[in-house]
Amino acid sequence: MQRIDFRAMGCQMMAVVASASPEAQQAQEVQQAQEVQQALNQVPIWFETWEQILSRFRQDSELSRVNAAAGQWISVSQTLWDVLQLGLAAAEQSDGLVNPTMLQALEAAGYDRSFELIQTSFATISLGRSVTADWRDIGVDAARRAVRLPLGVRMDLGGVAKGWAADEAALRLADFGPALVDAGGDIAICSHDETSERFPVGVASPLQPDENIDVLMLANGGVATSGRDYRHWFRDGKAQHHIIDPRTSLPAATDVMTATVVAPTAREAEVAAKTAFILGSRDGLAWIEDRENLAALLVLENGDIIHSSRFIQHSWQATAAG
Amino acid sequence: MNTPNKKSAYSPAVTILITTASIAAALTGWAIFANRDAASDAAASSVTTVAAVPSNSYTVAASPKPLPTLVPLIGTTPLATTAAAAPPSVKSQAQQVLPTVQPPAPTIQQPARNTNPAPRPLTRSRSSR
Repeated sequence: MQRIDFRAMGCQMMAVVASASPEAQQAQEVQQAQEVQQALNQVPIWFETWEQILSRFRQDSELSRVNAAAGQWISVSQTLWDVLQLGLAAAEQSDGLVNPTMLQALEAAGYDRSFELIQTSFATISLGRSVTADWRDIGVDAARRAVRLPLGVRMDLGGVAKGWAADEAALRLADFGPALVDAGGDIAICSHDETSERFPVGVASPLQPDENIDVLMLANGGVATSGRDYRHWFRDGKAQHHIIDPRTSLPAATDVMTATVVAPTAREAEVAAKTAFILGSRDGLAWIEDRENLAALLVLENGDIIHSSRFIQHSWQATAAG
Repeated sequence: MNTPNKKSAYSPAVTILITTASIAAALTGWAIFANRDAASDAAASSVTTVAAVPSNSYTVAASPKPLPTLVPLIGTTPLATTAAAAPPSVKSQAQQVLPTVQPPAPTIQQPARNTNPAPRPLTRSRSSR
């Protein structure tokens, strides 16, 4: 198993490629190891390229240029187009709870710079209440691959972009063997070999960060966790976090501390985890149960841990016993 | 519709005879019906007892097999506890079996827990950092 660790998109990243099979390893061990290493060395470059397109924190990113040109049709790259389509699909699937027009509300809550800068900043800006736009007002022209934002609207593709990047990198690496890409906690696993071994993925406890609540065994798919245990800060004496509820344009008021979702892809897991987090434990778990390709584990504010009926299928306990 | 009163065409003696025969016949009939009613009551009573058992547990109530052999088919709580705690009456058996027809809770669907130590995770899912 070969691995690379690096930082990108404001997060710690990691990518792994396992040996395709013992036979292949014996026959072409040296050559294969070199090819895998070359592929892994490309991963930070891929992420840098994607970040330059998708980051809202870089003034010269493609997304920032589109945000600065609200009201006009702008032709965009295939990458920005693809991720924007995912963002709009996420809005549709989550009934607008996860949508790309939350940037103003996010900045009003204080997340107006990278999280590293927020942690070291002592600036005090009064907490404002912003008005968010309707994501349905974003114009898209597939024939010209062009986008037009409503006046006054800027986009943040944050979580969806990170999930998409993890999926895309894992898919590319899977040509060299079963692959796992961890994009700051959003994890994509891809293998072209259905008989390949499963990757053990821990679900970190938000209350005791060094401990795992469970260990998942995954050969394909995605895992993502949304929560307020890490990216939170105080403004005007009130605790703020980075997950905005579009219904209030404020950080979501929820009894969920973290929501972890297993899905067919990391980007789907990311959207579902955020949706469950915003909806709260009762409605969030019901939302997950209604979708047969999703499974969730929620850690509540009171410390309770609850999970959907399908979550145990992914646990090491089920796979080891079964 | 009202019908006008008519005088009897029979003589008093005939009337007494007929009346006596009628009373006798009526008494005999009553006795037969009374016996039949008693039988019906008894039957109805036993049916009522069985009918009181919910349909989903009817097989259990009617079956001569001991309850513990049936409960695993329904997929319920441990049998030994159920059988030991169940009083012999049909009603009590029904009460014991009733919860098994409810949708199983997620915990029941869970496979047996593995007693081996958890594998060491390659990485961990957590909120973005």
